[in-house]
Amino acid sequence: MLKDITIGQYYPGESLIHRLDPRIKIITTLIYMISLFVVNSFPGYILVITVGLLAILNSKIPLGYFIRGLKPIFILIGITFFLNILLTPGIPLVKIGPIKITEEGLFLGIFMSIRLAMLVLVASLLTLTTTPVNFTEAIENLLSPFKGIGVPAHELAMMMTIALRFIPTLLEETDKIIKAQKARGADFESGNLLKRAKNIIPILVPLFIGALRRADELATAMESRCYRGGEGRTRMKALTIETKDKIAMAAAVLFLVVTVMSRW
Amino acid sequence: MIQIKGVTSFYTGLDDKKIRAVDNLSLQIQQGEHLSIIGPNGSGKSTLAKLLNALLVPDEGEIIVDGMCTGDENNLWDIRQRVGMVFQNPDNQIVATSVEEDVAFGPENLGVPPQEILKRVDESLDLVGMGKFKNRAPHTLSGGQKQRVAIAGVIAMLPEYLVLDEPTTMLDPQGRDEVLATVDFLKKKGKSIIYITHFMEEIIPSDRVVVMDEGRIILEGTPREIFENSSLLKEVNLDVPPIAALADALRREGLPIGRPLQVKEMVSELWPLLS
Repeated sequence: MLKDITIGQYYPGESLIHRLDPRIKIITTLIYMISLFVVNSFPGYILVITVGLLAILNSKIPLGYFIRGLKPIFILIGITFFLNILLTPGIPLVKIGPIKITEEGLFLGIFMSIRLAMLVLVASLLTLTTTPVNFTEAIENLLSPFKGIGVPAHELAMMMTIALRFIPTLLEETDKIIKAQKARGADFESGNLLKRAKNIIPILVPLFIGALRRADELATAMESRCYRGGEGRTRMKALTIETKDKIAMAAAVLFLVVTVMSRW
Repeated sequence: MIQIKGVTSFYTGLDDKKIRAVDNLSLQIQQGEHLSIIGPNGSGKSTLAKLLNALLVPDEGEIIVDGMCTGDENNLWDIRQRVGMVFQNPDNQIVATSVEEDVAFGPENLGVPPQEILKRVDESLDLVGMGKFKNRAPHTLSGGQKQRVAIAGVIAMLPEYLVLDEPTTMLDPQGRDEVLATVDFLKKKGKSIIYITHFMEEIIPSDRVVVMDEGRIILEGTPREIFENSSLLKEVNLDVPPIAALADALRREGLPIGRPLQVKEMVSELWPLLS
């Protein structure tokens, strides 16, 4: 059951989106997310949604992966949809007792839900088309200008790398602990919520102790391989900006300008 | 050459008692040598390993690695580059999310130029037979494969000495064979190997063996010489490998048998007796 968690999952591919520089990908994704919340007119929405869907199609990743990414926020989208429908003042369409559905509410509800869905979709697109290695390096690169004001760019990237490296290892360990506790008669399925929460303690305690031990050993191993922070460190594969990246960046800026203009 | 001169190292036990992990120990390790250090649990062999690349500094005495004292902070990174360490748990020494990135980790820390790193990564992975797994995520590898990646990661730093601290303890028999074959191959390539273990069979291919107990060296010699002292080994709870034990027993029965260590040698000892 723990195998289903797909944090930082990468789907290998050769599409244009896959080959873009990860820094450009992060920036354009952010620009797209801003545009999503800037647009407020019908043509604007159509433009933003079309561009988003085209990018997703370009990646050639099976749509199932994106839908799986949407699943956890279905409830959130649903709540947003109904609250917007019910609470927006305007011309009533239907009126049942104290509840009234307005035209404006219906529109806002639909578009708010689409915004949220698109937000998650492009975020998944970013992680699905970028290897963890490239992703962390891009983060380090993008944050490094802020080192002067105390942003620990290298340390953050190193922490992300180690976290991504150890997620599968710790999941495996959790599975083992659950099986070991079950073999001793632990019951994780019955009882009320409080009781079940209490039952998780015998999983968490060994997991935490194990993780701390791992951290200690990993630190020793890193030290013995001459790790001493980001200072004076080189990288095997340096990121490079190519023509296609420049074009993508220009297109993203143009896109932002158009969406901002569409408000007037 | 690594010179260990009268080194004592303490660690603090549970009730704040100071315990001698290594006790006034002296030893010289030559370049190109394959040295095994064997001893029961708690004999101080892992502490000795950590002393070799300045993860620990001796409380008394000193260790000189190619003329550099491990106690001097200025030598720290030079010594760690020269003395590479492979640890027991293969999972807890792999840092990056792909095999090649992990092998690159050491050279990156040393500030090696990118072109050179690429070359070293390919060479090191080929050396341990993991070239095909370059782009794999570490968690998809078997224990033996992970340990070979860890060895490649150290080799890529171009060390003079390779210290392996019980590298097979957590592996299955197949993984163990993989690692031992890799070590054997590296030895042939001229690397100095310091192999720490508590498995008697694993010391057979080494040039020289040091047996440790309670922080001291109790026996030193070639593998053959070590197995001659089976009674002393039993005292410190180390077992003579089966073939050596069998030869011992046969000799006691009056058969004219030498000191074979492997099945093949035993066979060639026994055949002449039939005719």
